[in-house]
Amino acid sequence: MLAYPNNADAVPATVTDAEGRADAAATPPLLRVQDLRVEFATDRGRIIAVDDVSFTLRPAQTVGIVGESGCGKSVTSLAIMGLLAAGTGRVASGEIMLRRRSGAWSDLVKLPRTQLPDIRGDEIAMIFQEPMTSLNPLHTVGDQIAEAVFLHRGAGRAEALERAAEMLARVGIPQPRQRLGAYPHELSGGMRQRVMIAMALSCEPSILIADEPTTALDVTIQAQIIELFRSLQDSSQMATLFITHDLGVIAEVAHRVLVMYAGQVVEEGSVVEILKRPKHPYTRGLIASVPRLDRPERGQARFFTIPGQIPEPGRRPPACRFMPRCAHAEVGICDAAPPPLEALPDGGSIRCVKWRSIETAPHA
Amino acid sequence: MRRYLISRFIQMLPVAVVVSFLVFSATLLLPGDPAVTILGEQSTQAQRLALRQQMGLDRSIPEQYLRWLGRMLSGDFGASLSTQEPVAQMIRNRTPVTVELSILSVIFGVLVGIPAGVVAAVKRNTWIDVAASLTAMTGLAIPYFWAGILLIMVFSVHLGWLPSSGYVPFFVDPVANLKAMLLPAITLGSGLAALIMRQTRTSMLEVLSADYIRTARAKGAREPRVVLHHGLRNALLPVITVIGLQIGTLLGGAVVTETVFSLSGLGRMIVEGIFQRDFPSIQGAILVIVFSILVVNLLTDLSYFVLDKRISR
Amino acid sequence: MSSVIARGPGDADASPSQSISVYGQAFRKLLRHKLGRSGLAVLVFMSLVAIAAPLLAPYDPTTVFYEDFLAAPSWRHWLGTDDVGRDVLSRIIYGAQVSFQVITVSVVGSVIVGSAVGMISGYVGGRLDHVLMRIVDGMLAFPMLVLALGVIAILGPGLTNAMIAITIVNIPGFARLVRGQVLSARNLDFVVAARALGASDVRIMVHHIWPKVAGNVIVYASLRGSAALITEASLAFLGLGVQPPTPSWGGMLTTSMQYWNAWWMSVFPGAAICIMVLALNFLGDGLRDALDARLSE
Repeated sequence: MLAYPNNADAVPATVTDAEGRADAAATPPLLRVQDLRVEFATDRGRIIAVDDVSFTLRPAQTVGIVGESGCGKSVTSLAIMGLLAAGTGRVASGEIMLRRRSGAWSDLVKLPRTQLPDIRGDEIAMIFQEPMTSLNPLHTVGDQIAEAVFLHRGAGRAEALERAAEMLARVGIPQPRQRLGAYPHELSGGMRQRVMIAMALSCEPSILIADEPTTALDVTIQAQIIELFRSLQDSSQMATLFITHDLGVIAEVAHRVLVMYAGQVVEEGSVVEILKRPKHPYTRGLIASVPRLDRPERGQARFFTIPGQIPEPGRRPPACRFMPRCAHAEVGICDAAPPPLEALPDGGSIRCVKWRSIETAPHA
Repeated sequence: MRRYLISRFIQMLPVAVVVSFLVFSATLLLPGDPAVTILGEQSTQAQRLALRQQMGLDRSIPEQYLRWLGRMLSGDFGASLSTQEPVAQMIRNRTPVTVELSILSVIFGVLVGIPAGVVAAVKRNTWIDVAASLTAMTGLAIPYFWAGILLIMVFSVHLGWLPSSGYVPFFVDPVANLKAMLLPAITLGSGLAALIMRQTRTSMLEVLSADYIRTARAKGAREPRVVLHHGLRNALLPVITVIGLQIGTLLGGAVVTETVFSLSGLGRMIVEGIFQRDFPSIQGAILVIVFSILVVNLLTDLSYFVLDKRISR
Repeated sequence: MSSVIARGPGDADASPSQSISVYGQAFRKLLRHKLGRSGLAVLVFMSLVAIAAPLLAPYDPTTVFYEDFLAAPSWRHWLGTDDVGRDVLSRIIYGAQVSFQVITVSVVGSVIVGSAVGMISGYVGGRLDHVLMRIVDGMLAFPMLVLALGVIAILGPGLTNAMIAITIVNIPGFARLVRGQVLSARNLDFVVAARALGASDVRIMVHHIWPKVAGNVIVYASLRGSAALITEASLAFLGLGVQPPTPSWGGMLTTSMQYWNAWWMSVFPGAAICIMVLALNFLGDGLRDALDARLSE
């Protein structure tokens, strides 16, 4: 965790620099998710996993989605990919508008399922949390990367493998040509995640979805992978949707941040706003619970944790879903009605009826 | 690799010793005096004594066993009591039939079981899956001899497409051979097909929920490619084990199948031996069958090991 | 099958009422299990038919109708007649007696001998365990039918010998199952406590370990039942089991092979075997689901 600073007052200057690029409203968006709602059929009836989530993604921009596990962030990314488990998960409403390479817009929700494979791996690529199990154990890494090239570019085997070697070099794997014949079990976790990234980038997608790409890795390897992401951002116009529970990683790579809680967006804004001036009690709690090794005088290895647990989808409080865990909750106000997502003047938004009074209160 | 091979071989040895001892001990359990059986009731006491000595029956049991084992290992299985033909010669003549029957039924089991298992897994919980499972369940409940009888009734007697008997060696006339072996192979392979189908379905379902399958889909691979290129290869490993473990059942089933289709194989040799009270040929055939099972099990383990080396666990 | 379950509680004198509820619950679970329930129902039906054969069978199974040999199914002979004019339905009904007899005797026999061997092997341990388990391994290396044929080769063909052969063939499976269970039960608290209180080895085995093992033995027994039936029918088919003129399903199929056009001679006895095998398999599945969770706790 020392590899990069975590907290509001330690947000790297680069973030602010990138802001200008990211917030350039002039660039038309690549992806516009509008009121996305995802449902799962379970034994105990239907469960709403993701509830009215909206955001946009522009070229060269990285949007981070943060939240505890079970908040719906991975489901959101799988919905965009059209990879929700067939038969159980489905997009109930909303749209996922993608600007195609041709310039035309497609709603991925309405697009026939048979057309999705043309988009996956070509226009939108995805990497996953578990590099140990995300590669096919019986195929060489060369073949697995080449497959994407073969599927979308129709390249021959030799040509596709050539491209695979090129990609391995680009993600910083030494002796890429020799590595083509390696099987996944011969590589370390960090190397496998580089292979996954190489595979995802092999067709130069316009959008990359990274679902907790560093969570399963050692801290030093995490830092290397983050560094790789940053250098890739600098060298292309690719947009990234970066999903993590780690605010430190968000500070490092994201331009804009969506904070999700119990299937909803509770706060949205630029990375500086979110990390420096968090408004939602949940966001404030998340930031306060990041371990502070740089300021040991405060807390002395005592970690702040948000009390309680994220409610199960079937047992969410009817009004504010965070209320049972919130230090600022007030009966009669917070349980009166579901709080709306309120737009803020700086372009962000917040889902809390009391945020104005909380902002002046001392930090959780 | 070599170490694994050696350790597996050493593990197999005690089983092989016990198996051979069990087969040997049957001679001790046979009612009556073998000398009388061979020489007949009219033989004199002196003749019997001489023969017993000659056969080593006056020695201790462990000594008799070792001498017996030595003969078996050198390929001397004795002579048939009914035809005086050397048992080793009989085994040589009959083994090809049983081997071919087994291989063909494994091929049938694989050709039917694997595609059915894949389809059932991909279409799980649909009527196709249910139908496949019901067929497999019935297939496992049908005894070999009934399956054989029904096949003969339909394909030989009513339709007249295939012969119900009349084995021709493969190298004499391959077409006639395969025609004669097709129904026996289906008879013996149907149960195996059902088991392979079930195992393929189970491991395919497990594999299809694996992370690397999601990766393949995220890459843009279409379902047939996801299932066959990424799923099937991984799902086949446990299927190989099932086939290996079923060799025993298969050779047991060969006994009845050979009887139904009048094939002169090792299984039929046991049954004929029992009717003719020809113990040396029963012993020889059983010994060959059980040892080939041990060898096949060893080979299955090895093949799995070779394939599994690529998987990190 | 119900009699076996009912016998369970008596074995566990430590807490009989608790045991009764365990088996009672398992039985109710079995009745809720769709396949298990239908398997049980079919077997109960078939066993009642077998017992009441003299009342239910339209004719004596050995009565010869000279005017009707090889007759197709008709109102007179619902399932036709065989080559010498005997009623196929009557022979199938009486054949069920043979099947039940062989299954019951051989499965109960192998449960008793196999469990005893497994218990002693697991409880005593050491060299005895080693030797017994090597023998078990050796026997399990044989295909079931081949081992049964080996026993028949020594003993000679016939119904009794077939039952002995099928019993012997099934012993190693039970021995290995019970031994494994004993090994894991041996160090459980209540067994250790019983030993500390001075209970004898036999008492510990019968009163404390067996009740823990019984559930799995019952499940395995029902599954071995179908294998025993197939082996019995195979031996009869090969002419090495029940000898004519006693009717048996396997034996009827042997005869049918000389009269290919009389389809009823092969279809109905074969179907009878099949239905009984399926019923035993279903019952086994149901028992496994009903008992496993209960008794592995």
